[in-house]
Formats: sequence, structure tokens, C-alpha cells
Amino acid sequence: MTLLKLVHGHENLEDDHIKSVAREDRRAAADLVIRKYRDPIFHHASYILKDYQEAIDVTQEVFIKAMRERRFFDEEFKMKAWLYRVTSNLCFNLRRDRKRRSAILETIPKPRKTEAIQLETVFADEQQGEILQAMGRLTENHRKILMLRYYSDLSYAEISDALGIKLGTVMSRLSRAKRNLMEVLDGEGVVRG
Amino acid sequence: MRCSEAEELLVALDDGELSPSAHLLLTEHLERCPACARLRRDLRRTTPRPFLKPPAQVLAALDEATDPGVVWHEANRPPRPAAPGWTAWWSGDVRVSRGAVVAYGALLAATWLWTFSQLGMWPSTTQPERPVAAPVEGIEIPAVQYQPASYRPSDAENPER
Repeated sequence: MTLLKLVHGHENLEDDHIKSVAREDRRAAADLVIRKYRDPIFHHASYILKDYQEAIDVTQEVFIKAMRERRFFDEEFKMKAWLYRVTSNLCFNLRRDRKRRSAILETIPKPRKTEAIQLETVFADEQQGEILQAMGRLTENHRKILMLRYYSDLSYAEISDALGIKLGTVMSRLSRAKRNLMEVLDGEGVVRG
Repeated sequence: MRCSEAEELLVALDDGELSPSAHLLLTEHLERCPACARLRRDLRRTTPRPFLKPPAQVLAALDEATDPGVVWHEANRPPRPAAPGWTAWWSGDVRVSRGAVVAYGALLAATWLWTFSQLGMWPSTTQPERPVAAPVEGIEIPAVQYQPASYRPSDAENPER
């Protein structure tokens, strides 16, 4: 029995349009890509980094990398999956660097950023704030997949492309990630790999 | 469908990702199994939802940073050449004559050698002769100059005891 919808490799009409524009004018296609993906990529980075300034820097870097990628407008190239994969990797690398830095420099007081730029100030939804905090206690793989699915609204097929894992693995990993998240929120604090 | 199979599919069901056949089997199972139905409700309750509303100041900064003109210019800027390493002259990456570098090294070494020799800083390979005091007439140095108060000759030395 087929468990999941067979939507792997479905066409994204808008992306195809952008690719057709790129055949004539790469610069114009770059405008379209940025216009389409800028906000979702920025939000994705913001949820991982919890810092708007860093999220802006990452978003810019992702698009610069995309424009340097020769195959980006190729017919078979999965733009959306590539953009989310690169964003996730840059963000998690930045988080790791941040942890390493803070371990070294923990005695030095950090400079305060302006309030408006701090993500914590927009934790208007208390329950969702708690969920985001709880996600911080999960493994990186589980955090990544939950963020791609629920914050960035990627389909299972798109997640499969972005993370380079099978469709069945997307389903089982998401299932485990959500159950772990539920246990953390319930106060059991069980974090499994 | 067993509960263990149903539990694996619950998240995919609410994400609208199940195939029609799996969807049908799972919903039938949920009608009969209150435990799985409860787990489904709990999982739904903890679903993350996007909630960010970045302030206008942030959106303006994002606009500026991702201006297509800026991104395009940055992406097409020729890569900055890396600073040459200190051994680059040997591999020929930097235009420096190998002969000149070798000559400079030799000159430097010669200067050091000369300086050290002038300052007498060479470690000597032969032991210098120790000065011997001239004997003074009329003074005889006794063979034993000192015996501690606790000294008692042993039986071997003093067989009379």
C-alpha cells in the first residue's frame, strides 16, 4: 500500500517561469527569485537564529550564493529545496559558532542590541513561544525538519529534496520529532535522537 | 491497522500528506481506537505555527540587504585574491627571484656568524686550563685538615680497643 501522496517531482509553475526568464535574462530572473523567496527564507532563518540582524545577513548571503551557483536556473535544479538547504546549513553553522564563541567569551559582557531587532520582543503568542523554546531541546535533525514543515510550510517532497532524505524518512522523522516535542512540552524532557 | 503503524502515520494525516488508501485505513482505525485518537489530539496541540511579525525597521533593513541590484553586484564581483603565503616566493606565485632570496639568506647567515665570532659567543670545544696556585715556602698543608667531633676511628683502624 502506498502510504504517502505520490507528489515527488511535482512541478512548481512559478519556478519554471523564472527559469524560462533566466534563459533570456539572468539578471531579471534573479529579481524574480529574490522577490518570491526573500520573505520565507528570512522567516526560516529568523526562527532558527532568533535574531533578526543575523537572519537578514544570512538571507543576503543565501541569495548571493544562489546567483553564484551556475546550475541555479537549470531546468532540473530544485531552487526551493536548494535555498532552504543552504539557509538551514548557514543558520545552524552560525548557531554552532555562536555557542563556541559564547563558551570562550562568556565572561565578557555582550553589547546590547536595539530592542526592536530582538526576536524575543515579538513573542506575542505565548504558547508558540514555548513551543519554539522547547524545539531548542530537540536534536538538530528534528529541529530542522519541524521548522521546514511548520514554519516554512514545505511539503514532504520538498523536505525530502531539501534534506536529501527519502520521503518515508521524512514521515518517520517528523513523527518522532513531534512526539519528542510533545514530551518536552509535557515536562518529561525526553530528548531522543 | 495496528496502533504502532497508526502512530507513525498520525502526523502525516494532519499534514495532509497521506495517500487516499492510507488515509482511509487510518481514519477507520481512529474511529475504533480511543488511545490513538487521543494521541492525535495531543500531537495537534503541539504543532508549531508561524507567529513572527517583524517590525517595520527590520523589514526595511531586509529590503536594503536583499536589493536585487546589491545581491547581483556582490555575486558577480570577482573574487578577492587570497593574500600570498610566506612560502609563495618558492612556488613562483610571487615575482621574487629565487636567487635573490637565497643570496639574502646567505648574507644574513654570514652577518650572524661574524657577529657571534666577534662577541666570543661560540661554545668552546676544549676545557680551559685551570690556574694552579704557586706553592708557598715554609707552609706545609696537612693531609687531614678536618675531623668532625663525632669522629671515632673504627676497630680496624684502632686494633687496641
